[in-house]
Amino acid sequence: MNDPRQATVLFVDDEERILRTLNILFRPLCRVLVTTDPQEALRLVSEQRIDVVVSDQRMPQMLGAELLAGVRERSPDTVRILLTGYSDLDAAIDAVNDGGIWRYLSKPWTVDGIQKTVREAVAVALAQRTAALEARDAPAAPESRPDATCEILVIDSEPHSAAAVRGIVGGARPVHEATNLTQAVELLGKRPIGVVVTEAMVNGDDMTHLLHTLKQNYPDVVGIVVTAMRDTPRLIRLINQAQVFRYLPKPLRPGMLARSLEASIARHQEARRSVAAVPAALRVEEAASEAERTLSQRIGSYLARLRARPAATATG
Amino acid sequence: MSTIAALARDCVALSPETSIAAAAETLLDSACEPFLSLPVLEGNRPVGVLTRHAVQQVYLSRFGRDLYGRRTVADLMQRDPICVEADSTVEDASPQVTARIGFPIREDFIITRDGDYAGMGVVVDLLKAMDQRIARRNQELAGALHRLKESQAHLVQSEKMASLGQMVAGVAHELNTPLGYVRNNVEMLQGLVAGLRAVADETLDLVHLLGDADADPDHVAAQVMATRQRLDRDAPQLLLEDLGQLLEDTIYGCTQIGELVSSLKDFSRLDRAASEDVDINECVAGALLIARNVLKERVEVLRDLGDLPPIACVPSQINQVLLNLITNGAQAIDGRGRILVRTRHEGGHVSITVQDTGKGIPRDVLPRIFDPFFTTKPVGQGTGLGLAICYRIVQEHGGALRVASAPGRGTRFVVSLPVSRDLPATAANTALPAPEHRRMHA
Repeated sequence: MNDPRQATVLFVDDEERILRTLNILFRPLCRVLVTTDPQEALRLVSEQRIDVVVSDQRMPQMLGAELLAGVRERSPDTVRILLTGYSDLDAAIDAVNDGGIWRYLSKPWTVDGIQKTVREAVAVALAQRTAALEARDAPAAPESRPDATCEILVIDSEPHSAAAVRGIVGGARPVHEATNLTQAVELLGKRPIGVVVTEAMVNGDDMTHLLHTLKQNYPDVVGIVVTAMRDTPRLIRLINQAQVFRYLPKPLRPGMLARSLEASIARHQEARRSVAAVPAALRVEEAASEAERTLSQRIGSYLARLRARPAATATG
Repeated sequence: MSTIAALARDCVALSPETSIAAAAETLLDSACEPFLSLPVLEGNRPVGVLTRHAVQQVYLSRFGRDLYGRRTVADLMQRDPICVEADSTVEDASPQVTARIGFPIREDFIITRDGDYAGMGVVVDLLKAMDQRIARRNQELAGALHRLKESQAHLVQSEKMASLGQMVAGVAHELNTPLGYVRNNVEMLQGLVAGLRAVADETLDLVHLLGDADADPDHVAAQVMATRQRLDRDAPQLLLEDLGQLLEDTIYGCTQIGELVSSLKDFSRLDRAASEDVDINECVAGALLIARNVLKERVEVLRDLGDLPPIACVPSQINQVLLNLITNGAQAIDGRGRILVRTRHEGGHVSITVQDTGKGIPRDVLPRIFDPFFTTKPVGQGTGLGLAICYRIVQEHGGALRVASAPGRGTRFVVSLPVSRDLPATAANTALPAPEHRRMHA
């Protein structure tokens, strides 16, 4: 069951030469399906177990983000990857918010890079499947207050974001506010935070590192990034290194924020049950530079000192 | 700002009671030489001027001196002198003076401060002051015109850069697809070659063993097995079967990349300023290739290209016009739609129609779309020069650019170029269109 060679990976691209080369590359590693037709891809996902879908963004019949949103609807456990030659911010935002993508890969790729990513995606899919099966077989644990521990942390140097979140959440659950990285880390250590809503940059600190470290140590924490910056490479880093769940452009639209918060809380609940099964190394891509790694380690060790959750020490 | 005060000259003033004979003596004084007239004051108030001309008239007439010499200035003076306040500007004073001055000029003007006499002004000084001011004004205007031309050239340049940037970004992204599979193929082939080398080494060992009469049969058998295993592991049959296809795809990809690069080069070719025999259908194909980035996934392009004679034009400019019209068409389409590109040869003209199924142009906006700086895009997302430049380019080719639009249904642009005419002199035009333009109704 957990043999990667039994796993099925579906590649979708309107250029058949891309499909041919990927098929030859991955044939020895797993079961490979390819199609140039997104409708056919959706049909395949509905009809059989597909562990990973790798899709192009620009296809004549359908955009990759649309296709992956359809895949998510039909098979939520299928790990979704976008493979694109266009660095188009709106497409990337759609791919995160609607397609819920796990990785954003750029064309041209390297053989080592794409093999590593797909291999990891397969491992994640298999681990999630196993966790889901175990959860199904295990007797339902009695949960007295199912979402009592999911508190929200808003990190922004301006007060608008926290006010907007409070306006939506009301008194239903605690909303904490941090205006810098130190405050944020302190709160993360002290409170059972389930959802982090953060500006991309706070007082000159890139929050990608915080989210990256959080994801590595506390995989059930869900990240929403709110920003006015239109910066595609940053969003790609947020996807690949911090597994950002939603990316909302400022000024915030209340309806969109409300839907995102609701989805994030649900995601957090679900993640507490299943994602812990995924090995930490597979959750996020390693940060690229030494400086980024050092910062991540610093945040990580600080968090570890502050926070004494049993789950954290077990997986982190 | 210089005032009339700067022109005030000291002058001997007369009183109304002064005798004409005494006044005439004063006029002969060298200090009065610059003046055509002398001021007549009561206290400090000017009440008139005595002109040299009036005194001459008296003295030139028979017995004039004897008859009038003892009379007073009050009898002969001009009682309504031209007065200008000292703090008025040269520009303000000039029309006041010229409106009153007679021909030939017989008098000067009195400069007053709060109605009191403050000196005499001479018309020639006023003219000189005006002349200086006009010269300075001209200089300022010339400077302003120069700055305006510079900023206009700068804007036209940034419009060019914007469309060039869009084009480069589009084509660069377009390159990533063939680069993607070419690179993957080459990396796989690299692995295969390493495997094949290992197989070749094993095979060579086997050949040596086979050639050795003393070789141990078990050793030979083991080497045969090793060679076989190496072949299966490092050069799997499956990959070898795909080899031809992979190489074919790689060559195809390189051709694709080459075509994209050369279309980019042809498209922006500024070295080919003007040419006698340009195939407009080729320009259309080039523009569509470059525009593929904005068209690809949602806009279907219908081509209806007729037989065209070669025409004389600046191809890079015509490409710029076509790319602009196609891009505008794609931007007018929300969601999915179609763009029709049709070329025709009709009565000495080549026409290129670019028609979209977009949202159309509202009736009140349509008359302004060729105006420089007119844009419906948000600030910072368009210079408003695109269509203005298109219009100018087509005009310089002796052609016409017309538009028809039906809101909600789409817009049609028609570029019409004459088949034979003199070539536009330069590719680097920076002028903008005149406001008038021809329009065609839907």
